[in-house]
Amino acid sequence: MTSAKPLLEIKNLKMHFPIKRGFMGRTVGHVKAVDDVSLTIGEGEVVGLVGESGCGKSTVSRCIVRAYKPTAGQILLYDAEGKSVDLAAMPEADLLPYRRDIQMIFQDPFSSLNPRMTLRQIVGEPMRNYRICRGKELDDRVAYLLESVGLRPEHMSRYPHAFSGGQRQRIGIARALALNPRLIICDEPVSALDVSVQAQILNLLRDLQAEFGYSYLFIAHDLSVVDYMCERVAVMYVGKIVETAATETLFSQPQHPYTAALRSAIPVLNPRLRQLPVPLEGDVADPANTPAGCVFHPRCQFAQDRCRQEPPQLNETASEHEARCHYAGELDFSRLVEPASIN
Amino acid sequence: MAPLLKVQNLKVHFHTDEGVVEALRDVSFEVERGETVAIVGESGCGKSVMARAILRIVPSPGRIVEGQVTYARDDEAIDLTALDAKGAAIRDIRGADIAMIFQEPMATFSPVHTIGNQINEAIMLHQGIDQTRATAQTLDILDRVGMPRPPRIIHRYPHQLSGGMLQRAMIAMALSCRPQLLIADEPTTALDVTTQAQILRLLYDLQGEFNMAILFITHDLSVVSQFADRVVVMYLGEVVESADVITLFEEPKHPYTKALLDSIPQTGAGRGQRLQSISGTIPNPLHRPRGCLFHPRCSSFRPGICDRVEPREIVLEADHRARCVLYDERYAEAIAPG
Ligand SMILES: Nc1ncnc2c1ncn2[C@@H]1O[C@H](COP(=O)(O)OP(=O)(O)OP(=O)(O)O)[C@@H](O)[C@H]1O
Ligand SMILES: Nc1ncnc2c1ncn2[C@@H]1O[C@H](COP(=O)(O)OP(=O)(O)OP(=O)(O)O)[C@@H](O)[C@H]1O
Ligand code: SF4
Ligand SMILES: [Mg+2]
Ligand SMILES: [Mg+2]
Repeated sequence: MTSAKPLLEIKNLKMHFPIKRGFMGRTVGHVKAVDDVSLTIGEGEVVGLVGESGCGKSTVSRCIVRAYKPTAGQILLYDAEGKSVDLAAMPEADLLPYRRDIQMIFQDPFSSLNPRMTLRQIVGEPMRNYRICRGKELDDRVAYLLESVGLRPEHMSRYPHAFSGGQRQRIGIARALALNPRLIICDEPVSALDVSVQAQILNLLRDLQAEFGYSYLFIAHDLSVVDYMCERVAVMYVGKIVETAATETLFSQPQHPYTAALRSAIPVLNPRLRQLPVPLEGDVADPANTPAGCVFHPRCQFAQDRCRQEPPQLNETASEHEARCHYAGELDFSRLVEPASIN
Repeated sequence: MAPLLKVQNLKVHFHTDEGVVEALRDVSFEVERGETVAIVGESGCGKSVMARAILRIVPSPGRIVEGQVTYARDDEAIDLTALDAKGAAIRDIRGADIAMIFQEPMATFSPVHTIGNQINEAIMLHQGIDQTRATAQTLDILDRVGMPRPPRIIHRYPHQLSGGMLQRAMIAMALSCRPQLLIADEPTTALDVTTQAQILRLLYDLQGEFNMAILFITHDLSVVSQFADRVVVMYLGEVVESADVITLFEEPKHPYTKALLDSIPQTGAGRGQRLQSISGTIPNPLHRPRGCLFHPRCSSFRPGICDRVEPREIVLEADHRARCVLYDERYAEAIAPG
């Protein structure tokens, strides 16, 4: 899949939430939030995970950090010697030493920071919890972390409310870096920010990656942001990965109709290149009640009888390019856009 | 012919406990019949306040302090700022002549009435027709906006529709009286890209069909480049630049517009080059910088000028204006290199 040594390998991950009804709490069905996700993140690699609201991106990340115990599948974390442990099945008590290797940055810089803690406490807490350092040494390390994310160490005793959205996102990043993680999961890290500030944070994340060699799982719904950040991208639709490829390939030669529709729906920043997307009709499938066959078939322009019956597998259709479509590689996506003119 | 809408030197202030927020300082622009004008700018720059000021629905403690909003109804020019905000005249214009759609459709619909009844009400109010004919029009307009199975949808309550469907219902209600001007305040910001594409496509098609003007409020410059005829860029309550869409994207003049365009990642541009970010953050509206509002973040900042004088709006070409001292001949000598 990837040339780098694997750091994290997710195999056939499933996370099904029971739907309970009545006062007896009878289980009447399951929300298949994640339903067969396989994904490998290499050492020092930036992998994107994209898809529309509710497709299961955050659930995947919560499984990786074991905020949820997955219903099925493996989450293999590799050490420097290439030996792996499976986080998916590991009992809670054994997770502690592995937890520090994987950190998270959240979308909402307003609610993800404790308003009653100073920056010193917020950024220092993980190091105190792991008894890495204390006192003056801790302060020095916090100062260093704040500086590396572009904040002033003098502001250490301030509270989060005194900072703007972009600055709060930097605080969250400093905290994530505190334990020297190997993998950082960025769950929509810039979606809540204004464009001018978004660019600052994207640049910062890239600089940190270049300097310290972190791996990122970069979750976003904005494909242009993903294009800018990631070497490889996985596209999710209703709990399943439907396509993975190198970023450039994914955008220039998508093989899954959903990826193609997603790409054509993104307005290009060029008033001389006006295109009207042919909209994807209908709504996203309900993960509690997924259609038979291919989950995308009710919205797919290319669906055949086979698509309504037989679920397609994720197949390698070209080198390092996988798509979950019966007709991957055979479809012509040019009719997904029409040129338009300026009035 | 006079423009359909002419906003001149509009000023809106909010008197809060912490001080006066100058939400709009001096906003002027025009909308011609049938054209799409985009208002762009980052959070808090005053886009929504401006839209609400036009319709006279600025929430308290906000107040229009100065300026005119002239709406041309047939041959009659009406200054909307002079009307009684609660009177019959403005209510007559709202909905019938100028309609508005919001980012959050729940703000338009009451949760306790069906979609059908609410659109019927609007039609009966503005057109004075009976229930039966109103229902026929409601079904027709829902069909026009691409709503699946309108006869069933009219019996649904707002919470029973998906985000995209509710957005369509809101557009249907806004268009039900065939307005001359549609104000769309971030109609797609809360939606996924594919649903956004559906809604933008719908607005594009309906505009052609109804021949209405659209005032399109957004912070997404890519959407602007695809849909607008003219663009108005706002920063902290001021219009800093306005031009036709091609000029704005190809020859932006205001440093803020240039920086904004450079800070957007573009698909296909690759990971090669760094994004040009704008340093600093948008200032607190209660602590506005002196001189040019953008000067603390501006890469062309000229000490002694930009932090002292409030730039005038300079006309660069017939339809291209920028509020920056770099283009003001009064400072040409002081600014010239060397
Ligand atoms: N704890 C839970 N219990 C039941 N259902 C859940 C739970 N968490 C998530 N879901 C459901 O699982 C699906 C996937 O949700 P998830 O938050 O992972 O999506 P997402 O891709 O991160 O969406 P967004 O882009 O909106 O953040 C949704 O249908 C959601 O309602
Ligand atoms: N009710 C209010 N009381 C006090 N200030 C207000 C009020 N409503 C708006 N403002 C201020 O007016 C300014 C403009 O706000 P507005 O909502 O128009 O911004 P916007 O450009 O629409 O932003 P966004 O992109 O976030 O929607 C802001 O500084 C805001 O704080
Ligand atoms: S498998 Fe069929 S329905 Fe699914 S994406 Fe491919 S063509 Fe469309
Ligand atoms: Mg999420
Ligand atoms: Mg707004």
